[in-house]
Amino acid sequence: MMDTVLRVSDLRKSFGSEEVLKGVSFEVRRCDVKVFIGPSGTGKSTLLRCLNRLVEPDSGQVWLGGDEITHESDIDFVRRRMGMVFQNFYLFDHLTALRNVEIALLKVLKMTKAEARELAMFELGRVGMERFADKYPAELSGGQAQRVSIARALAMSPEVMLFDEPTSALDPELTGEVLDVMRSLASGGMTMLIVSHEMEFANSVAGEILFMEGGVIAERGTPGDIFSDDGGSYPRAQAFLSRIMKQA
Amino acid sequence: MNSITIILESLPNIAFGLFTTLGLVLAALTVGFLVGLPLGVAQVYGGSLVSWCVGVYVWFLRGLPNLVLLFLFSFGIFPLLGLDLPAFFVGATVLGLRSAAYQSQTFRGALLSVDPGQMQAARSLGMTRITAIRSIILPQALRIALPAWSNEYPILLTDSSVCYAIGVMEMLTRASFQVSRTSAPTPIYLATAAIFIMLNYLGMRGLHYIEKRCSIPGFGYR
Repeated sequence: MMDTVLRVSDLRKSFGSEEVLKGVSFEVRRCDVKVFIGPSGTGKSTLLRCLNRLVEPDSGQVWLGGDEITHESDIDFVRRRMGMVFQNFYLFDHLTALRNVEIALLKVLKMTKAEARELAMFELGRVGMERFADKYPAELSGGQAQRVSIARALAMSPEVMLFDEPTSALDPELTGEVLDVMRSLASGGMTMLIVSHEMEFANSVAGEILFMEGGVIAERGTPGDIFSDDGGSYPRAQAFLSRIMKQA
Repeated sequence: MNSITIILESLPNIAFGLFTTLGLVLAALTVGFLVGLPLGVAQVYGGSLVSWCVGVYVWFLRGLPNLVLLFLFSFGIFPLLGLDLPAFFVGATVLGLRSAAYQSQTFRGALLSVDPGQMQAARSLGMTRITAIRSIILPQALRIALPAWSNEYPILLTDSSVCYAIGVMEMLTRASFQVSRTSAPTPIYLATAAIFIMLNYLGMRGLHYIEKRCSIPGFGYR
């Protein structure tokens, strides 16, 4: 139990009359990389957003470290400990790349300007973006913008990183640079939860694949088991995979 | 006396009112901003009750003519409260509070046009709602609002002349004094019109300069 970073128990969420999450439970240990796959509209993004309560879950519990956070009143303090990367980057459009990374260090962690600048430059370096420190979001390619947004989240030294389809908004030739950054994070021991449609990436980086369908984790297993399933133990994941392979 | 002489003779007096007119405009713009911005923020981010209250304020102040408000405050409300305030102060307050109603809607529109993802990203980093509004949303919304907000300047500049009616010594008041003195309305009102046009031009140049200074590459041209 010592190295459990995140524990999720029977998480449920409805939008209106539609129940999007129908009781999701799983556990994440330090350095785990878990990739959520599955058809769109099955609650993968909602699940990630429920974890840091950008979307308020209806019921169920989430523990971060030893703290139950679904009823925690100081959610801002909890969110510092979880980094989030969005499909559409959501860089702050009025700030340079460097200022994007700095601003939460200054406003949330109350660092001095010098400390924030040094750490922000370091994080931009980790994602290979230090040369673009003074560029505004509109001057960056999608891949570059997403790398800055990863640096922005990393600068807060989160215990876990949540990636919500980080490459879905990118042109195909730009996904590689973002996936490379994520790969190096994974090999550096970062705990990561990733919603992705990049099956090759999932196969190579995930410790576990969680296949979601209809608001539940329908099937789960190692990438080896899921992607080369000969014994028919994962019929629903296989049906999904063969569907998207046909499209590709 | 020919027209040129009349204008030259009256001009110093009218031009003196220029400072009062500009003073009214700047005071009203400032009051309008200091009241209008919080109102806009409250209407967007406050609860439904707050939002409703702002709506009522906006409805009333936009629904009443300047002159009615000026008379109401100048001859009604302020004297009733036992306040004997200078006409300039009453004029600036009324123009400012009315401008606040308009400005609040400019800011509301700008706030609503900021991508909701900006707030989500800010909150995901642990910023409080207030910090997110102040550090992320407002800097963007104010830039988006600036072109529409610039409208307030020519509107207030031209509206300021209604303060004539409560005896503020602005340009129109001084011009009509000169007209009674010389009985030559055309040259004097033409000169007054020319000063208004010039003030309008200079002010808009200044606002465009500010807009340029505040612009950010690729921002606001989506």
